[in-house]
Amino acid sequence: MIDLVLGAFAEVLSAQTLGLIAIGLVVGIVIGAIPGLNVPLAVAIALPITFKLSPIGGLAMLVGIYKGGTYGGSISAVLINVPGTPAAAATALDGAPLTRQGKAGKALRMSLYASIIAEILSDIALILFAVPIAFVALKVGPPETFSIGLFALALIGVLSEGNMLKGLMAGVLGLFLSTFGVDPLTGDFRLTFGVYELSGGWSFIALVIGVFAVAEALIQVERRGVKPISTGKVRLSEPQHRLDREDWRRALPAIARSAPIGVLIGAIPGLGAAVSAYLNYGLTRNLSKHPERFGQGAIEGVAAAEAGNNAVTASTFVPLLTLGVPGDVITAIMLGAFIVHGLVPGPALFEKESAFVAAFFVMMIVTTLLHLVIGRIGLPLFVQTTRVSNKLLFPAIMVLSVTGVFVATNSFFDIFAMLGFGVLGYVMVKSGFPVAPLLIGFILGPLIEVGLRQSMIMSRGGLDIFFTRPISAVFLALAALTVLTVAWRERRAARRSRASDGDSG
Amino acid sequence: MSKLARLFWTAVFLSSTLWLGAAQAQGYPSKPITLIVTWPAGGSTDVIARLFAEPLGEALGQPVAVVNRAGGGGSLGTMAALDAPKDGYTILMTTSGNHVLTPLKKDVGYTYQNFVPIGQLVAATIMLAVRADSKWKTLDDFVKDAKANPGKYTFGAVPNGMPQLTLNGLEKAAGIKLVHIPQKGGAPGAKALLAGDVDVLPANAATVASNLKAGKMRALAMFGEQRDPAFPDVPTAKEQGYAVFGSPFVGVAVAKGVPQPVIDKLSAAVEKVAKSADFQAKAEKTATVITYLPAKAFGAVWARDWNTYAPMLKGK
Repeated sequence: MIDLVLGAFAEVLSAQTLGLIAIGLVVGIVIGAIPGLNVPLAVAIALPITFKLSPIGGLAMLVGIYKGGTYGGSISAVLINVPGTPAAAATALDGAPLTRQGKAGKALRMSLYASIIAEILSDIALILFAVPIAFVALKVGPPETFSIGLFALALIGVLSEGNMLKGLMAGVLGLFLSTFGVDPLTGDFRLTFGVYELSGGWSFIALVIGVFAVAEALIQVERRGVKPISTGKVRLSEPQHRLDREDWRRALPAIARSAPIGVLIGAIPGLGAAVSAYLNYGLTRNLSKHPERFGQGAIEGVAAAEAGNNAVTASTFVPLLTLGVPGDVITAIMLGAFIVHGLVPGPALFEKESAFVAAFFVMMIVTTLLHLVIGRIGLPLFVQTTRVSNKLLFPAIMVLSVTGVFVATNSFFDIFAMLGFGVLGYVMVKSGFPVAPLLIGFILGPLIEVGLRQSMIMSRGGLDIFFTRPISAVFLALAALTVLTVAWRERRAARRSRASDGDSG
Repeated sequence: MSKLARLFWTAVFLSSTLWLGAAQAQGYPSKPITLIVTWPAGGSTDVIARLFAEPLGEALGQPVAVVNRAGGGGSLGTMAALDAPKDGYTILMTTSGNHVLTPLKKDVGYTYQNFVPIGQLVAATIMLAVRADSKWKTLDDFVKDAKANPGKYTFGAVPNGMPQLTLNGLEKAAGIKLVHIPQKGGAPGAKALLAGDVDVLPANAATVASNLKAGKMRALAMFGEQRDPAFPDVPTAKEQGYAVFGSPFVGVAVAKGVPQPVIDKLSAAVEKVAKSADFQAKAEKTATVITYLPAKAFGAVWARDWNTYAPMLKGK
């Protein structure tokens, strides 16, 4: 046992492995931060390189890209209100307002530290509790997936409080867009209108880049002559860029709740970082005593979203290592890096390759620590983005968006789809529709649909299956509770505004 | 136009295309080649394509770049290979799914006859797996139980994929009725079996290999002509009295219209790589046994599978 651990440290702490982790992290953070370039693609492109490296060295680089990329999306979300990755869209909701208030450093620091704390918890959970977590993940079958999806969908109501109707409409539009393409249960084509590019459904990347990056660029076109947020060099040491005691008092409970929830979500195959970020953001906002602070630059919103998305980065390996089933797209790609070295992930790996598993665990922790160092070194550089005028920034973002979509999908159709979604996003923002629910609906649609239809086949058409399985019943109850609290708060707000109308009139 | 003139112009046209083709082939390949994979990065087809691309590039003297064009049951990538200039610089890593099953399900604008076979690389094996604690020890146990309880037991599989069609074949051969719970992929199916959400799982051997080896799952049968060398203890369905077969292929194809000399060059390079011990050893590590078939035999596999699955899928 001691030998195993010592051997693992010796392997991971070699100059080569550390170098590969650092390369992976830097590449990941940059790719994650650039809207248009996405993390799964970066991991897929780096995969053949790892065939020539040692198993741990290769995986170290991929894990570096994964962790760095999941965090990197928050940088552009905070600084320019364009999430670099879908999972960072929730971070933009409060991160971008903080930047507009001149507190970019505060938001960036919080997203880094919340990410790192969540990652460490996720690493520890993977190392110590992989088997029990996998046991819980196995309990999540189709009925549970449906109920969790429904709960997450109910949180849309929370996200769009004060603007409920438009929020729900955007959510339904997202659900609708997710139904295009191959029917996941029959394999039939639906809503493709004979357009063969649509047979795979709307491209997720085109949608995300369109409604966030392109729409934001269109909005910026209108604001001619706006000065950059900062003039002159931005110093992180200035008080408005630091996290004070009050910030931590607000953020720590959010992190403490979001990280373990995120760890569990990561371990359940099919959910992933974006679901975790939204669910935790919505939950934190719903449980807050001051939900009205959210969307105006609440530091705990940034903390919840970032702890939520980075908490999945180690626990997605739980199903891969214990069941041989990848937890998300990225671990599915990494599967290739395992098997090419003759390491078939699954229950046999722990017995046969214990030295490798030990080194893998040590590598996860070391990657997280290096992530803290590299991320912290990067902060003073990233924050200088606020000095760049939008008239330089956004044309560059447009170029990256178009090339990014094309690199990811090799499809001209998707470029036009992205531009179309950009116009849609612009119209939505201009007419007061929140965009985030659209994305949530699009992500949750397939989960809910497949969960519902699989459950109905399992139960031969009976609805009781959703109430007799305990995990499913709990989430259905939570969904109902969420709807009720939101409805109650909306009513109270409406009554209050009516009362104040009465006073003035 | 008189008959003679038409003949003349046809002859001119044909000879010029032949001449052009020969001229192109002489220099072929003079620039990098694109290898289209019709499934997402990281899947089993993608892994084998990426392992294959490098030695193929060395054999041809030009780099071979893997491009993933996933979606539409593999039809997007297949169409892209068909739409590309027919000069041999775009080649297709084709699989049973995109090549045979998808065009049978729906009119996607091509059939297997739009392509020329270059060589088969893989003929995978489909297994019927159950949980280790299952009461069924043999295929016969299961069939008897299922016969006594029609419509009681469930299986998980991607809709209209090779594993589902193979199990449909077993249902027909054995006279049993199972309930299909559609899955979004091989890995979710494996999870559903382990979790007890489905009772049996027809799956590619690679999908369940680690769980079989670790003793978490047991294979009742494999649907091949012969036993899989990687799993010598798993009997074939045929041995157990049910002549049901399911063997998804992966191989290289190009669009019809690529000049013959180019096809010959490609075929020779594919054969050389597929037979090299180095590539076979690398593939074996990914739990994939290379089963090379030359162009003609590979083309026969296409026709065989097309005729097998057409009655099951047409008009579905």
